[in-house]
Amino acid sequence: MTSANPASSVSASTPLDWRDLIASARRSIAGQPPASRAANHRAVSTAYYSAFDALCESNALALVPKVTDQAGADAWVRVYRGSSHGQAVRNLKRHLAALSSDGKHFATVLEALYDARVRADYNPGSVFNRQAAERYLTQAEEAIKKLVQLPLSERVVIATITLLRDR
Amino acid sequence: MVTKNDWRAEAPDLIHTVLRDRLPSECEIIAVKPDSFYQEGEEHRFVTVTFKGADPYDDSMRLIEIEHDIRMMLWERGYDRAPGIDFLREDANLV
Repeated sequence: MTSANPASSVSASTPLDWRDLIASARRSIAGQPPASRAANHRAVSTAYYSAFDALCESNALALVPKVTDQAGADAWVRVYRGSSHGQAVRNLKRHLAALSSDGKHFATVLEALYDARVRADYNPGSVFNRQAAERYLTQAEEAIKKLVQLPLSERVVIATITLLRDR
Repeated sequence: MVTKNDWRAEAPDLIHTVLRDRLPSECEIIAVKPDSFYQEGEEHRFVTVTFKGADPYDDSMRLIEIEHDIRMMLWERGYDRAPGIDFLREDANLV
């Protein structure tokens, strides 16, 4: 999976690169003096968003692999923006049987990161130190690597699971 | 579906058992405490694992696999949401 939107020659839309998100978060908590609590919490939040962004991009590349005109570029962006957080997490869990071991790994990590992100952003009682933030960034990075290496057929399955409501 | 009361009674012990069995013996798990809060009407569950000795983060890849297996185990036991797991050194400086 490339990180660039294949529609970039047609449209200006280019998603954030998950590698840049993770690297940026790592820089924000590295070195001395120790990063602030706020920086650590932002890094935990970024760990989740990097995984979610990677999922959105995987979905778009799986369902709209080739863009040759503006309509295709619009379709690519529509798929990219089509995922919602709760639905993606819930539906992956409901359809675990359809996933390989690496697909299951991504599903469990996405839920773990989502929960951590909610605690980091909304629970005043949660305190994430630098090690915790680094752990979630590593967790995101490893899960995304598994996602992007899945065969196209499974990434199509994941796209339909995460984008469509169960009826 | 595992209810609020069920998960508080069961999940900490299950998680404690898996961590004790799979983390290095130098890492001593002191307590696994359940907690939760509500955000936009949804309950978010988590446990805080207090430890001393070797740090579970020392082998982050192993820890990631253990956490994956814990989440799969809880899903298979009927948990609609498995609790998140936070690790806290007994004498941690939290900043």
